[in-house]
Amino acid sequence: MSIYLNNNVGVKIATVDISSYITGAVLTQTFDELEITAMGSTSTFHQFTKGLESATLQLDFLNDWAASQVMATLNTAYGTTVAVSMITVKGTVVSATNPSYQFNILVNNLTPVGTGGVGDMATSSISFTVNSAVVVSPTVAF
Amino acid sequence: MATYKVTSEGDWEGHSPGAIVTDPDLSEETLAVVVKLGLLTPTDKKTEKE
Repeated sequence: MSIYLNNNVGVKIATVDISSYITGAVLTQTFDELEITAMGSTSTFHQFTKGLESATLQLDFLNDWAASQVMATLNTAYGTTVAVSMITVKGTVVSATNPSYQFNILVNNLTPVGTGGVGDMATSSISFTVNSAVVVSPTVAF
Repeated sequence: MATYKVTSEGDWEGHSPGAIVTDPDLSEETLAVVVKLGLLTPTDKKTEKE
């Protein structure tokens, strides 16, 4: 697999596959930049080194309160730290070119009624704080 | 060891409904959510830790 159409990302929260409700998913990983520019440095630029890592998971999804689906799962998980599994292309075998991503999120915000006006679908667009390391694996199942 | 019965309508993590899962590889909080959602049900039959 090389480049791919971004229409089949898989997302599981607390083992519940909510992929069919997801309209957008962004996992952002960052490291803090710690400045180490010292006196006497011959560099004409600020110098930085790697600090602590953090990550966020942004999910856009269609609200659905059906049993064990997206809203019931998030509502049950509200206030707790639960496991998330993601895959770049769902339905394709996990490999180095289609890795799975394993991490935990703190479910600290919800929009249970959804957003949108009259005539719109009830949707949510939520950013969750990642509460663990993000493990990228070529072998761990989605 | 703790055992759980798969009670979801569809497969749960590759296990069919009615299957018994021993010590699922989940954190305590995630397992609590899975049980609350009714995907797994703790079974009465438990074996003592070795």
